[in-house]
Amino acid sequence: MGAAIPLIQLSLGALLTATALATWGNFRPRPVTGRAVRIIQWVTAVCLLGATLLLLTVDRGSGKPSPILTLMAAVATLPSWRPFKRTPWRTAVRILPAMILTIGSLLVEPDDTVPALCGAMMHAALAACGGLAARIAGDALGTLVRPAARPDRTLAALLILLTLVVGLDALITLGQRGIAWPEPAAARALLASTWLLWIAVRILPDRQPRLRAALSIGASLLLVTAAL
Amino acid sequence: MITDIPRDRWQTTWRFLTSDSLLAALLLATAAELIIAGWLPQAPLDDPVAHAQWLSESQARFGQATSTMEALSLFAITRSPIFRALLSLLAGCLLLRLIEVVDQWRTHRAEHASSRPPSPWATSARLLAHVGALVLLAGLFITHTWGWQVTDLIVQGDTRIPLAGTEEWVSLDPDTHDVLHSTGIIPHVHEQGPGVTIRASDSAGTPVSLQKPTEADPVIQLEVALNEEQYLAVPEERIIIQLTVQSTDSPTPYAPVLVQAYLNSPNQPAASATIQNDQELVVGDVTLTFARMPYARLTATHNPGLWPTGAGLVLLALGVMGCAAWSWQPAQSAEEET
Repeated sequence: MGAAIPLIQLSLGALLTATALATWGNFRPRPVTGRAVRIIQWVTAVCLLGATLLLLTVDRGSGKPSPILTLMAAVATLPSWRPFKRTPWRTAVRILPAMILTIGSLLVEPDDTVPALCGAMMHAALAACGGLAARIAGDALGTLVRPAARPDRTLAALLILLTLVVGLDALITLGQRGIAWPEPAAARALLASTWLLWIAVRILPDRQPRLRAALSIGASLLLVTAAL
Repeated sequence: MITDIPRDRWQTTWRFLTSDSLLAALLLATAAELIIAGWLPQAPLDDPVAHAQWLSESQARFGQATSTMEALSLFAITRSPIFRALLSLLAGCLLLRLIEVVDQWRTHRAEHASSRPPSPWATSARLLAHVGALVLLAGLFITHTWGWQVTDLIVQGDTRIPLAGTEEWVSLDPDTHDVLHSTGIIPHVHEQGPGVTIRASDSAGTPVSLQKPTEADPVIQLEVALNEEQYLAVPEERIIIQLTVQSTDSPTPYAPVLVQAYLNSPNQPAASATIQNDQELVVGDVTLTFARMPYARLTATHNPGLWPTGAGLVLLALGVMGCAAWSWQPAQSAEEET
């Protein structure tokens, strides 16, 4: 199998450690805890990216783990733009989706069929979208318990990347086949619905943070499913 | 006071129709419909064979609920009245919001010339998103109303095949195997494979008629696309011919073809040959002449809404990305919050 599985297992252990540290930091706030969690997140993200590259090159076509899910987990693991000290508990919750994706990458068999979208780059961009969606889902989990400001930068990045993927795919399909969304195309219908969901999440008024959080979690699940 | 009431109602209605909440609700409803379309197998439109196969699979999967689900248009979401009504409402909402955006922009310029104007990029992105979405919806409407599509069309040789009773046509270049077509058509080739043209003649050189099992009238020349194993007959001479492509997964246009001709015994072929190029095969008194003629299976689309759809997509994508990049927050939201 090579080094991919040990790297992913190492990442999973690191994520567990980061979650434990962030939870502990919530009760005993110390600056060093926050820094440690951020460093662990960076190292884990690099490990998961390395595992993705290994799965796409050296270990290509060897079944599990799924490189799409490891790429999503890597993007979801990257530390937040915001300072750690304000929301240590939230950091622990934010790591949860990345952990689920990492565990999923070890369990889910990658789909070897031809992807519905045009090209590997588009698929990789969609996987990155899934990772960003998982980050937002982590924030949303925290918001469900205690409402907070929405994660604007991550949401903006996700919306830009997802719009690029959906728009380019529709334009290429329009040029090649004469119709932007030909029938029957389940993957494209799911992707278009995910895009509409995220736009709806973006324009929902701020006075409904819990509704926005619930929608974000649903849209994240849908996006991860569509990207697989 | 009495004269104020209708004006307030009008303002409340206008505010509701142009609100972010309504747009978000319409987008969520459209997304929900598309999710159903993505999860449930949608009924094929044109092909009766594919439709019959889809129906049997759906009945096996959903049992007695199939008829109820079919009545609710769950197997034809994008053609259902609910989906069309949703898109119409979305278009109406976007049009009103576009008027609101332009009005707010002009009012701000006239009344607040001294104050800090909103970012021109943010305003442009907002306008682009609304105009793009409307142009896209108009393009989809034109496509749905005046466009048409012919699916699973088999094209062989340079004979122009007319499409859907119009002057549009497709054919295949005999040398390069590229699809030739009239200007209003976009062909999409699903697969290319081997095919043959067959003629038969007796010992005196007189043409003998050939017949496909599925075709009633015998003909002098048959064009056969070998997308699957094919059978044909020479009825006058009681000859059955079996054509099989000698290749595995995806045969190339010039993959070898095994020809087996059965004269008296259904188990023992009277003659057989593997055709690489043009070739003759003698079976009893009949000479079969085979000429290679690859086929293409394609979908031909006529879409008068192509350019509006494309332009709408580009404008909408630029608008949405611009709104996200400049963290655009609609003025309506701020109004609602206060």
